[in-house]
Amino acid sequence: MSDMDRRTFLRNAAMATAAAAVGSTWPVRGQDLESRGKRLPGAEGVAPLPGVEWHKAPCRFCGTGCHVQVGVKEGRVAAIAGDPQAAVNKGLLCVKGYHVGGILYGEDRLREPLLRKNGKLVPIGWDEAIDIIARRILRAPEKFGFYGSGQWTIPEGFAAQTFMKAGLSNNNIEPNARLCMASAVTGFLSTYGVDEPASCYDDLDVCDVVIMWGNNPAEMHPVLFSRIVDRRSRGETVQIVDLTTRTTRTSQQADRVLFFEPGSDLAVANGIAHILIRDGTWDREFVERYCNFRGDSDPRTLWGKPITFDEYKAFVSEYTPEKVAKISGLSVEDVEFLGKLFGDRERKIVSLWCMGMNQHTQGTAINNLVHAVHLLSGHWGKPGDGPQSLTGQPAACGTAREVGTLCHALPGGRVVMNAKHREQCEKLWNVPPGRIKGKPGLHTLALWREFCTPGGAVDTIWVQVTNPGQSLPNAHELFLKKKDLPEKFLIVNEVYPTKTTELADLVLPASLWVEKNGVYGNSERRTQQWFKMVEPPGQARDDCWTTIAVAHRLYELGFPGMKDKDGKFLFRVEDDAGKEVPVWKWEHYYDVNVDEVLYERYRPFTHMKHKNVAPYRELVKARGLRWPVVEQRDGSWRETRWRFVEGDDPFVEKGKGIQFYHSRTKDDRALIWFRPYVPPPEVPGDGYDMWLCTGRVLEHWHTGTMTGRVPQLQRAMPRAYAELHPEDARALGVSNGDVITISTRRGEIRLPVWINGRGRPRKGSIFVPFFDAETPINELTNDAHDPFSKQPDYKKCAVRVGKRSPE
Amino acid sequence: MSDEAPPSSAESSTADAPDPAPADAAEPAAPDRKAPGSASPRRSLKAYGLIGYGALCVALAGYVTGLAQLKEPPQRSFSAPPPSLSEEGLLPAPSYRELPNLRRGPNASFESRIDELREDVPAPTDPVVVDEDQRRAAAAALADRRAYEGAPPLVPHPVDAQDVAACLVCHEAGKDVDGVLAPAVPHGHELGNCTQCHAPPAPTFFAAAEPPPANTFEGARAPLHGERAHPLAPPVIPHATLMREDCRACHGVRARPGLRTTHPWRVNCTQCHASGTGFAR
Repeated sequence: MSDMDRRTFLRNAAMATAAAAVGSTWPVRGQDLESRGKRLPGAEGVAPLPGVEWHKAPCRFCGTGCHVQVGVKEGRVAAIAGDPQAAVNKGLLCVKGYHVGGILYGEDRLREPLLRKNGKLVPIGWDEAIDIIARRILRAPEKFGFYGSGQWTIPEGFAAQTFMKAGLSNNNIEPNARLCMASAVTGFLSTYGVDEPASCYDDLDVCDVVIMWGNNPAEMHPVLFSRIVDRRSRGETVQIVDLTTRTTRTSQQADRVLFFEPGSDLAVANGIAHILIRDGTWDREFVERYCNFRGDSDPRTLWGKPITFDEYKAFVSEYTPEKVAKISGLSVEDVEFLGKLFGDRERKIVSLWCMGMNQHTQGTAINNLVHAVHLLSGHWGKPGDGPQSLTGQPAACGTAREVGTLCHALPGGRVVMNAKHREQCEKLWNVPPGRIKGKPGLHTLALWREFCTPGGAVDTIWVQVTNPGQSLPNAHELFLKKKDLPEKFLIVNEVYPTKTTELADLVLPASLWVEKNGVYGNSERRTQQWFKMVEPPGQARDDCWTTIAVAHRLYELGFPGMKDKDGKFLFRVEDDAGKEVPVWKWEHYYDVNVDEVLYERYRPFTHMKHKNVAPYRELVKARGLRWPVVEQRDGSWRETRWRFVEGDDPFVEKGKGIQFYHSRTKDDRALIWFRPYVPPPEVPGDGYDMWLCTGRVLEHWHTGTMTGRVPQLQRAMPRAYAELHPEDARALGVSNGDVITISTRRGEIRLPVWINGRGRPRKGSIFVPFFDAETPINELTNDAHDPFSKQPDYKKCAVRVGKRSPE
Repeated sequence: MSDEAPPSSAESSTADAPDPAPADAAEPAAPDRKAPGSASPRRSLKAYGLIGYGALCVALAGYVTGLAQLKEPPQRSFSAPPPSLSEEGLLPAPSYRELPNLRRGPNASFESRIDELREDVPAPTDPVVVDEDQRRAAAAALADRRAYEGAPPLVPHPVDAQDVAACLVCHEAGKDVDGVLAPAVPHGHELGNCTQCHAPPAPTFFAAAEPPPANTFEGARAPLHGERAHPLAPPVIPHATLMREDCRACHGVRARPGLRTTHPWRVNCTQCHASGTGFAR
C-alpha cells in the first residue's frame, strides 16, 4: 500500500466523522455554530460506513422517547441505530424505530401547497396559501380553531399557543392528545395538585413487580418492555402481572394474567383498597404523613370533596373480594392476590398504564384509584416503587401538557380561568392586559362537532401534525359530515395524503422529523432536542414557520392581536445585533435558530409549577434531561428522577421526606381518592351483542400515515384485521382470512378475521387496530367520554359481527 | 480513540505475521482492490506464513478425514422413510395417546434431524478458502433482509411463539440445514423480546387491500472489506458492532461461505480488528 493509500485510509477510517462534519453544510446557522463545534469530537472509533455522518435525535414515534443515531449520507437519511448513550433505550430500538428513516421517503410525500378548486386539489404558491389562511381568520377570528398534536415539537406548540391565546384571543386550540392522555392529566391534577408523573423509567430497572393496567407495552412501548424482560435474561426476577381484557404479547410474557370485564378496573382497584384496610396492611405512617382523603361530591366534580378516613373506609368496605369478583370476572383468589401484593411492602411495585385507563369514560376516576392504591399501601416515591403513566406520543407531555396547548390551559401548568395565570402569561408574552380570554375554548370533541354542524361556532379549523379524519371517534358525526358543508374550511399541514387531507380545502406540505429542528418531551419528563439534518422534499416547509408566516400576514393586514404591547410583531426575532430577522420569509427562517428562540421564550413559563425545563444549550449536549432541571453551584445542570422526593427533587424542603408542594389542600399532601365503580355507557345487548376494543400494533404508529409508507413494516402488518375468539369464530362459521362485517350503532366496515394471531380477545369481544386508512374503525367507535377529561372511550362499545353477505 | 485504533491494531498484527492472515488478506486479486505493484514485503511474508500453514493443514486434514471415515456419512435426505408395516402387513395406527407427540407430515424427519445436522459443521481448523464471489453473495443475502447496514433483519418465516426460548432453538448457535442458514444471534447479551425488532411476515391470508406506496429510502451499505492500515494489518471491522458483539454469529464456523474467518479459534476479535460506530457524541 502506498503512502497515499495509507493517508487516505487514516483520513477515512480514523477521522471520517470529523472530516465529514467539517465539510458538511450544516443547516443551522448563527447561534448554534458553537454548540455544533462541541459535537465534533464526539465521533466514536472508526467510522465504518463511508460517507455517513451521524447525528442524535429522539425517535419520531411514541412517548417512550428513545434516542436514535441518524446516519446521513449525501443529504439523505441512510441508516439508523439505537443510541447507546441514551438512558431511555441504551442502544436498543423497536422495529418502528429501526425503520424510522423510511418515513421520509414515501413516494407520495406532499411537495407543494394544494387548494381545493371545483372539488379538486390543485397546486398553488406558498404566498397565496398563507394569504388565504390569514384572510379566512380575519373574516371571523372567533370562529377559528387550531387542532394540533402531541407530535408538535415544543416550539411548534408554543408558537401555536402564542398565536391563538396571545394573538387571536381565541382559546379554541386543542391537541389530539385530548384523545390519548387527558384522563392521565386530570388524574395527576386531582391527586397531586399538579400534572405529570413523579416517577421515571429507572423504576423499571429495580422493581420486583410490574402491574400492567390494561396496558400492552410489548407492542406499544416495546423498548420499555424490553427494559423489564431483559432483566430476566440477566438472571433477575421480576414478576409481571397483566390485568387485561385480552391476551396480548405482554400477556405471553406475564407471570399472571388476570382477565377483567371491560370497565370493571375501578372495582378491582377499590377491591385492592378494601383488602389493604381489611387486613391492616395499608401504610399508616405514609398515609398519616403525606395524604388526605377525598371522595365524590354531588354532582361529581374533578375536585370532589374532602372525606375522613372513616368515610373512606366505609366506601371501600363495600368492595369485598366477592363483589369485585362478580363485577370484574376475576376470581376471588385473584382479587385477594392483588390486595396481598400491595399489602406486601417488601416488594417494590410499578403500575404501568396508557390507553386502557385513559380512553375510558371513567378515565379520571381509574387514574385516581391507581394512584390511591399506591399511596394507601406506601408503594410510592422509592426507586422501583410507584405509579408510572405512559404516553402515546413523543411530545404529549412536552408540548400538549407542558406548553398547555389545550382549550383551557396556558403554558407551564396554568389555566385560562385563573386571572393571575392570565396576567403572568400576558406579561411573559408582552401583550396588553386582557388579551387572553378567561373562558375555556371548545375541547376536541366539541370543536369538531361545531365544525361539522351547519352554522356551528367553528367555521375554520387548521390541523397540524395529526390525522383527525382517522383518529376521531364516531368519525361519521365528528369528521365526515364536513363533506357536505362547503362553507366550512379545513386547512391541513401534512406529509402524506391522509383521511384528513381527503376533505381538506387547503393542504400544506410539511417538513418531517429531522427535516427540521425540534424539541420533544417524553413520558418521564425528559426534554429532548435535535437539529435539522436533511432538507424537506419539494416545497415542504416547517409547521412552525407556517404559523409564524400566517401571524405575520395578519400583522401586515393590520390585525391588532399580532402586535405585542409595544406595537412590535408578536413573533419578533432579533439577531445578535438586535436587528429584526424576517423569519416569516422562508428563505430567512434558518438565519437564526427559531427553535432555540421560541424555546427560551417558553422556558420561564415553566418555573411557577416547578417544571423547570433545561436551557436549550444543555439539551444540545444531552440525550434529554428530566425536569425539573436546576443549575448547581458549579454551573452544571442537574435533572430530577423522582419528583416530590427529598434528595432528588431540589424543590422539596429539607427534612420533609416527601413533599407534594402543589397539593390541592395546600398542606403538602396528596389525595387518596375513592371513586365508585360506574358501568360503561354502552354495553353489549339489543342486537349489538359483542364488545369492540380498538388499539395499536407494534409495527404501525397511530393512523399509519408514516409507518404505512415503510415497506419493511407494511410487509409485517399490511392491513387491519378483526381478532376473534376461536369459539366466536366457530359460531359464526368463519376462519382465518374470511371477511366479516362489523357494525355498531354508528357505522359498518368489513375486515378479515385473524384467530389466535397477534392477540386473542375473550369470548364475546373483538379487537380491531386503527392504523389502516382502508378500514377506518373509528367510524364505528363511540364518542362517549370522561366527564372531566373529555377524553373519549375507544376501548369499549357494543358491536354486531356478521359473516359477509353474498353480493 | 479513533486516531489510536489503526496503529495499535497494526502493531498487534505484526506480531502475528507468521499466522494465517485474516479472512480478507488471502485475496490479493480481489476485484475491488488494487493488486500491489511488484513484489512487496507483504508477498514474501505471506508466502512464509502460507508454507507453515500448508504443512499444518495437511496434517490436520489427514487427521480429520481419518476421523470422519470412522463415522457414517451424514444423512442429507429429509423425506420421511416409508413406515414399516406391522406383522399383519398393515400401516401402523398410532393411538390417540401417541398422537400429540408424533411428528408427521413431510417435515417430520427434517425436524427430528436438526441436532444431528448440527454435528456437521466444519471444524474450526478446517481451511477456509476466501472466495470473493461467495463474499459478495453473502453480503447480498445479508442486505436482502435489512433496510440498511445495521438494521435488524426481517424474519423470513412465520413466528408462532413469542418466548425467546422458541427462537433460540434454531438461532442460539445457528444452524445450517442443507445450505439453509438459521443465523446465530449476534447480540452480546441475551434479550427478552425478539419480535420487538425482528418482524415476521404477515400471515399469507392477509393480503393487503392495496400495495403500499413506493418508497425511495436508500440504506447505507457496509463496504465488503475493512480497510487496512498497511498490507499486513488486520482489517478494521467494516460495520458497527452495536447489537453484533458476538462475531462468531456471522464469521464463525457456521457462517455463510465468504464471511467465515480463517482463524475461528481466536475469540478476542477486537484485540486486532478495530471497531467503532462513528456515532455523534
